[in-house]
Amino acid sequence: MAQQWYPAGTRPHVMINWQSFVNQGIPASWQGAFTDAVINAYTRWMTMAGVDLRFQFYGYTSNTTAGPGELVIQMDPAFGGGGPRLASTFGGYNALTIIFHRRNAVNGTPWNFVPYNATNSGEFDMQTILTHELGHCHGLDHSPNTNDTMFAFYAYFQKFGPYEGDVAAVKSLYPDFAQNRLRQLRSTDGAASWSDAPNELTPFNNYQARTTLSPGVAGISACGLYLVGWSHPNRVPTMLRTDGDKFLFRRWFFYGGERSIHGPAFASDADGLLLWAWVNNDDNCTLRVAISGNRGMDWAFTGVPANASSCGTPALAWTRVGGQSTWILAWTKFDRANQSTTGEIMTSISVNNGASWSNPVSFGSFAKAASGVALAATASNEVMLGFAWSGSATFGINAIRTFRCDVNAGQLRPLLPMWAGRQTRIQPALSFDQTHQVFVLAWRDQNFATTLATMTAAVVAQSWGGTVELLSFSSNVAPGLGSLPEYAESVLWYAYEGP
Amino acid sequence: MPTEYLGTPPFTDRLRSADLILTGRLGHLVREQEIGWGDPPKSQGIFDVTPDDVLFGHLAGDVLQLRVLGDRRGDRIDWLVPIAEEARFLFVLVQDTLPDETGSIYAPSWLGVYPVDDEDRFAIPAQEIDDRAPGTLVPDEAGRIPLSRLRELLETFGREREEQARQVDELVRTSRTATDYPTVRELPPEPESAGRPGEIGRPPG
Repeated sequence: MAQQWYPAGTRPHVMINWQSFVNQGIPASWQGAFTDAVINAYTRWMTMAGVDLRFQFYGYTSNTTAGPGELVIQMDPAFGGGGPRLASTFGGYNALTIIFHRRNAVNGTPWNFVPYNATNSGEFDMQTILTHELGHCHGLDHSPNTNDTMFAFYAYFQKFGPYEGDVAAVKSLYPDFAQNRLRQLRSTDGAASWSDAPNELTPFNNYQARTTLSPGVAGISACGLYLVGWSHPNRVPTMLRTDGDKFLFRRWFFYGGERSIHGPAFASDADGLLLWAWVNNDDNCTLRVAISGNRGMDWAFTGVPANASSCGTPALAWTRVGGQSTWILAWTKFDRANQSTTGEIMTSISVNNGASWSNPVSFGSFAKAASGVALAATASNEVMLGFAWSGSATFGINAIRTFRCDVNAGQLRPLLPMWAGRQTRIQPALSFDQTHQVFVLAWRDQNFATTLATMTAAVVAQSWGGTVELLSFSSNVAPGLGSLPEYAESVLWYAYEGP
Repeated sequence: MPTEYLGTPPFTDRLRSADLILTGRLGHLVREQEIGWGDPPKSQGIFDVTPDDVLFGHLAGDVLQLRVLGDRRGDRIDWLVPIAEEARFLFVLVQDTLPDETGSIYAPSWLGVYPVDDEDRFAIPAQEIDDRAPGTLVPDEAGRIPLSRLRELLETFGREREEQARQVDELVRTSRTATDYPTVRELPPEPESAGRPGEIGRPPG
């Protein structure tokens, strides 16, 4: 029966008994990769379910049972001969243990585990299994819905959940996390430094002023306003207009009847025409795109690229190509029926303001992500695309990959990889600061406090530099970036981790 | 609450994810040990295998050992894969050497031990052949497939792997210079006296 195994409002300590894995023949060199799989898995629950139960990695242990407030993860030889079990969760109130079983107890075959990114059905993705078992740690039973992460039997796509049914179930057990108000930083020196930017939204003590998903930001050209948008898990995509301090037209804009499972993406053309993209909370994670011709006052659905489904936050950018107004949409492909291509970065182009889109094109079979994607562009076809890499089964997870690109022959074309040398568990954010002529990259860092950081790259640069560590600003959510030349500034919106 | 896997991965995916694929002859039982679970109780046997043709993977030495699971029924053990000393088999294997063991020990991947006849054909149940290798692995009427066809398929997989490795190298070439896995930095800070805060690999306890 579904029940709270850990008290609401707590942060259970996750301890890994790594030696138990090594003792069963798992390569000792996978310790870091497995640890990343653990943290990735609970981060996914933290952001996409958004409830007030938040696990946190606390190190390694030799214990085989959990103490109060702990979750121990370990491995045993096999599950007692009882069946083809990959893993089990045992324990009692406030003390659970996840046990991976090394062998298929039916035929003795060692499960062909990989830490993450299993690419075919002969491999078993430990992050997928952890995502499912962490659902049990959130109090969930098995779901009868084969699409859910909590369906009883392993399927590779469970890693990209929790899905609608999972989120609804966990929300019936735990209250929403409420320590995540939206806050804003501002930079007027081309992201060389940032300062807290008080605004009307942050002190507004309403659940709608919070998010566990990534906020989206865009400067609306030629009117001195920003769009700031976000969503709650299982709730409506929301948008406000602001000049950075005050919110104008003081009504929330909810996109009626819609539910979004990831953060939104916005972009503006040079005249203030706006596109808004989000991922619908259906089991197929289908993309939605809306258009506004009056600077965000009203919206209408517009075209969507064929078969566009995403397992993370999508990205939008606008540029001109040979004088032609051109919109770029990027997303992380999600297809339950195709394990090998799910996660590929897909792009599509529209030259008629989103009414129709070009056939989606993969950015490459190894340009893969397990979260979302980010885009930024100048008005003259200089484009930057970024994501947290997820292309290997044993190394390089979450490395921030960016590519300088252009639109050529109707497709987004990679020109130059530019590595940030940093990692993030959700997608990074990108924007172009027109005043200072720099691309700005921001991300939620992989440290204990999950603080924010930024980098910049000039339009002609071949590498990122100017790292700013925002050590006083914690967020478990990817930030959003925007810029307005009217104020000669960039802004960074994030969900602050704290009261 | 368990997570289970039902079914069997397609044969081609088992080939792709195998550590070692070879033909060879089964030798004698080196040791047998009851492993304490199952009904009937399971035993594991370690058999010598003398390879004659390695089709995929790298084998150090002339002999490897095979860990096979069996059901103990009184004095008899029914091994879960066909066991016939000196018979020739195709082995689809995964690495299975535990830290306290020496030598090269492998286990059959999903009972992946298939008899090979004198005409270099291996026998595989028809239902195990999936449609992901159309025209490549086509059993004859007796359900046998020439090893040469398997070799062609494995060569195709090898070329795919090389291309994938090339693409990965191209994608990450400037950031993969470090061979060590990057430090996981999400550990809580420790008191200074405890030493090395934030480093992975801290001694257990």
